[in-house]
Amino acid sequence: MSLRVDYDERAISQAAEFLDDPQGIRAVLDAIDRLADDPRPAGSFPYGSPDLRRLRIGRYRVLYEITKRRSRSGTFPHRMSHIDLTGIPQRWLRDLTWDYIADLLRSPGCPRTASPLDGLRRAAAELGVFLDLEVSARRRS
Amino acid sequence: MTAQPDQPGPDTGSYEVIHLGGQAAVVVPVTDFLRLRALQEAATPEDLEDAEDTAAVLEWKARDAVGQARFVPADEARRRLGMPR
Repeated sequence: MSLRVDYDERAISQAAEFLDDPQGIRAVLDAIDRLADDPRPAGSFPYGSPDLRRLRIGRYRVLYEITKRRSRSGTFPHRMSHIDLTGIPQRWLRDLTWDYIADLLRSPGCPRTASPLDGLRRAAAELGVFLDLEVSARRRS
Repeated sequence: MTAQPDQPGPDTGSYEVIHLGGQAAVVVPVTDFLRLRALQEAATPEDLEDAEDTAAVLEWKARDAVGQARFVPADEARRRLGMPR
């Protein structure tokens, strides 16, 4: 059974502030449409109660509540921080880290906050720098 | 500016709520303000996102509880944003 999706009028006003990014907002609206058939998609996670959820779409966050018959998009969008992997010197390590993070975000165990992802990014950057230094030291000796 | 503590809104504890230009504001003692600002400056971006969302949920629930949250169907939301399906 499909749920009806309603928007809080205030959320529409918030979205209107980001119309300079039509592609991003359209992606948000499309993702909200899909909640009608899949109200708990991978990548969404409970926020305080099982039916109050948060979903990230690109740079935006959507908070929504699933009620008996409808999914209500309460507030959106906020710009969110992005994951910058440019600090990892090796291309292969950047790709590996990116694939790992993408798999993690799509998994049922998707982290609730960006902290674990930031930890991964930092660890990969440190490993990359260490490998760089190690290679230079071996070349010199 | 008017003081309207009986106006519906999120629970603000013992802080007084005032209304200025259609916006509600909480009167916070300077020491509390400085403490909150220090916490904000020390917080991680993720903590700030969580705080923003918690505040948004509280504000939304408060409006919903007194029937002030107005909801419109998805098609109408898209029409208002000029982004039909």
